[in-house]
Amino acid sequence: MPSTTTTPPLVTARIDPRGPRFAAAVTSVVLAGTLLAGPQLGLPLLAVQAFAFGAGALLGLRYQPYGWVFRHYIRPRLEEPADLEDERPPRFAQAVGFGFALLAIAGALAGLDALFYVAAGFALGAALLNAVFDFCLGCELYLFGMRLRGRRAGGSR
Amino acid sequence: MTGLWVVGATVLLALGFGLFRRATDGRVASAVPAREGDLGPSRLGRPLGERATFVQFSSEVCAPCRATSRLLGELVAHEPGVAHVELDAAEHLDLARELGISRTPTVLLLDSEGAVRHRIVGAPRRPDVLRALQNILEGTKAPDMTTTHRDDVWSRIRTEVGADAQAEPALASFLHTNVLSHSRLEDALSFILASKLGSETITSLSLRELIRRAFDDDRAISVAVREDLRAVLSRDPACRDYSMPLLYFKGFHALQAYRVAHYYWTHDRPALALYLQSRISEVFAVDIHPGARIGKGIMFDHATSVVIGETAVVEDDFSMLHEVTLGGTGKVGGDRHPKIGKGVMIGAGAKVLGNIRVGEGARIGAGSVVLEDVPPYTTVAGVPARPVSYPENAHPALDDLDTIER
Repeated sequence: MPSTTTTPPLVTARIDPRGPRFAAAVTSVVLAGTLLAGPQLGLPLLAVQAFAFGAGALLGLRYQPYGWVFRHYIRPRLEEPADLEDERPPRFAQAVGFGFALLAIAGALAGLDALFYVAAGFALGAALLNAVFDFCLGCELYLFGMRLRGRRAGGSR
Repeated sequence: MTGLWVVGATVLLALGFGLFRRATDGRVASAVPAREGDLGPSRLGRPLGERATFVQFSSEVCAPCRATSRLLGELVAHEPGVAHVELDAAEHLDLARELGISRTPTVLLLDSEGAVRHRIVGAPRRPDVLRALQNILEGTKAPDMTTTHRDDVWSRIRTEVGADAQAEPALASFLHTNVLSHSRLEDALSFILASKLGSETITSLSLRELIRRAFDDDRAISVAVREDLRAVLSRDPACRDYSMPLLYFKGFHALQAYRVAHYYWTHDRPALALYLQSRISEVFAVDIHPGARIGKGIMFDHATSVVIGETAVVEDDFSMLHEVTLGGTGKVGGDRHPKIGKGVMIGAGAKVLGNIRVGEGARIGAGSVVLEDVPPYTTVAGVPARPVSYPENAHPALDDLDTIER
């Protein structure tokens, strides 16, 4: 068995932890708006949100539009953060959000209202948890998913 | 309309879940040993700490894991024999599954044998971790049979405190953490002293280990502690039992903390000894140089503003009250402080200055300034102090005609 004590590599991007939290608050508002507007009228808003998630997940948090707003207009007015954090956890959360947003869009386009409401509702719940409690639902599901995947692979490790 | 319901339900669910998580996250739970089994170095892929090991399961995408590793890393840096092993759960999926770990961070606290003793799911809080660790470390040293066996001072203290805890609910938890949860007087005393003297420089937890090391290494301290307790109980009319000085008398606390400082002074760690002196002085307003030599059966009643210099020597069965100085005159260096004989009693506010000898059984009146030797069994008072009476010999049977004629 390899002795793999993992210290996270120090080369990953470090970000101000208040950025993702701000983004989560904006996301909550946008998603609540989407849900209130319904599958038809809400579709453009949902598309905006999916774009934001996608940019954050695929390109990096620096390209997340809400994060950009935070960095350029809000952070200069705040004090220095007590600590910087690793970019990977919030970026993973963006990917989870992106998945839900795509599902919701698919539901809206295919006329499956239930899918739209459930997927957008999950995304809203996760964003609220992040904004209010600084709690990352996607991050918790990650290990859970890994364990499931590991089981299917027959626990090859 | 559906949208409104979905938003409302989601907000409620999220708030409920978030509040629940906030309440339960980071709690320290006792582990079920049978279920978890032992985590040896082979299962872990890393050596265990000599006394305890934190095994932290983390994942790449977990922000609280970072804060947790920082907290634990800091903690073990100050605790010799305690290790911190961080595993990426994704790379140790089998182990994670066997141990039922579904969230990160999850921290397991192992004892020296590798048995899982505590489990913390979610980011732990510092005081909780400290308490859990202290709990483990306490068990690492087998209780010393020579002191637990027939240690009547300690068993009396436990009886007294047990009764107090029953009678006074407001103090029950305090009495439990300070006395009842410990198996030896040394454990209780080190806990009490460490919690009073801990600071940001040396935390209570580390300090406690230092104190206990001194107690364990030098049995004479344990003997002296018990003699001091007996002394206070027999001489202080306000003291009704052994547990009072142990719990409440700062003169007793300062004296025992001095004994620890003296131990380090004589074991080549003068810097630590001087640090302890300064903490004792800050906390108890008692300034005893760690180089001073003090016997056993000692009572410092009230104790505020007591000063004892570096080259002072105090023999057994000594009592003194507050604001007493055993100091130098400022005129000479080297051996410059008083030598106090056995059984001496010094009243409040007296100053005894210079390298003089206060003979066995002498008394010094309150407020005196003593600059010359005091003969045995003599009472002196005044500024400067003069003999005011020659009490009967404390051992009249030993008197002979010569002394009576004098």
